[in-house]
Amino acid sequence: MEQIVALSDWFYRLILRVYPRGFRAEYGEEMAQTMRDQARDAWTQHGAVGVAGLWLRVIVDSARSAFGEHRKQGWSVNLSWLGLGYGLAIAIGYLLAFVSFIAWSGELVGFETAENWLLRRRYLYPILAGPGFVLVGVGLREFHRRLRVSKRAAIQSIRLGVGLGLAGIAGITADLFGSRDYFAGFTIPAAFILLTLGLASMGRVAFQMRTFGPLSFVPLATATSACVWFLSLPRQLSGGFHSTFQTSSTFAHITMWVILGVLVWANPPVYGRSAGELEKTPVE
Amino acid sequence: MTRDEDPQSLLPLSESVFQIMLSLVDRDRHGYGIIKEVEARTNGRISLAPGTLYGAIKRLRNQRLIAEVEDRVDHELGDERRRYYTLTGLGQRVVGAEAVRVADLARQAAAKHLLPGWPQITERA
Repeated sequence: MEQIVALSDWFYRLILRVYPRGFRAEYGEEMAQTMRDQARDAWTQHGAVGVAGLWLRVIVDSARSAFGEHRKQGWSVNLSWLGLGYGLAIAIGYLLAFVSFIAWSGELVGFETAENWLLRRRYLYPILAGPGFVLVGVGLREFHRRLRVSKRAAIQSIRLGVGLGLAGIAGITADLFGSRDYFAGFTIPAAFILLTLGLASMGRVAFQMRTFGPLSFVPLATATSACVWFLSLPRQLSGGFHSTFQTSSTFAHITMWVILGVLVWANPPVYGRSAGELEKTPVE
Repeated sequence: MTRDEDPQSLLPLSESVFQIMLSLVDRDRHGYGIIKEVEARTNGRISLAPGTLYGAIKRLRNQRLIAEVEDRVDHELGDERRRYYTLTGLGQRVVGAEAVRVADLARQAAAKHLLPGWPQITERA
């Protein structure tokens, strides 16, 4: 029984992380203690079914009560129009770059060159990818401008952005000159890895700053790129995971969602300063 | 009496809050003790989970309706120390006022024959 209680305790302590920090500091230990008592009782009285029933109730209760606690602390998702504009820029930019990437590595993910309209027009790749990278760059620059006080994160993002741009341009250039197997094959996937890391870095700072306001492009861009990626998943799967390009692209995206998921989990509260206040009094 | 100390200004209470306060009327209890008492008294109809319980405890403490008394061991549950809660004077008045309000509602329902078997009470007890 004690093993079940210990396991339940471990899981419940994970769940406690969705509560605001202050609430957790004040009541977290007591809540864990109460949950241990309940789990012990449920196991004694009804066995595994009892513990499962308790957990079902606790998960629903935790989601509801944690949301309530965050809301009481001034939780808000405050989208600003300007932020939304930059969000659209980075989202569309990512979409363009992604489409170009998928088309470029088309043969490796199951497309037939002769049948695919995009693949027969290779001059479209840089036309799509170029503006895409520019739009993403605009988003990164705005990100840096708004979060200039958070120097470490901003420098990291700019570094990633520059690396992304260079890698992307190098990859596309190499592709046009026909050396894709050796040069572009490395640089273009590297560009997407850098891009996803850049977005993840932006997400990290957005959560650290407790705001979605001026940074609304972060969730927007990530959601959009997630949609693009998942929509392309059947194509990707049909091509298998044996190719370097495919694996690196898949790895980059999965890493991104895992990183963002962990960040959301580790920093659930998005409250405190509103977007406008944040801009007036930025926080390191 | 300030507005903060006027029990009527804090009514109505939600059912879970009322049940939590009711469990503290006769003695001080820790969190799990509150859950057990409420569960037993309502025949299992209300089974509080930790999130709801401690959210309510936090609000009740902020409103000075309950207070923390001491940490001590509940020997029935092992050697761990537990934080006990008690009703404050204001808390006693608020839970009493809520009980009167609920009884008044029940009286009105009984007058409309909505409570079979209940006596036709015409005046507040």
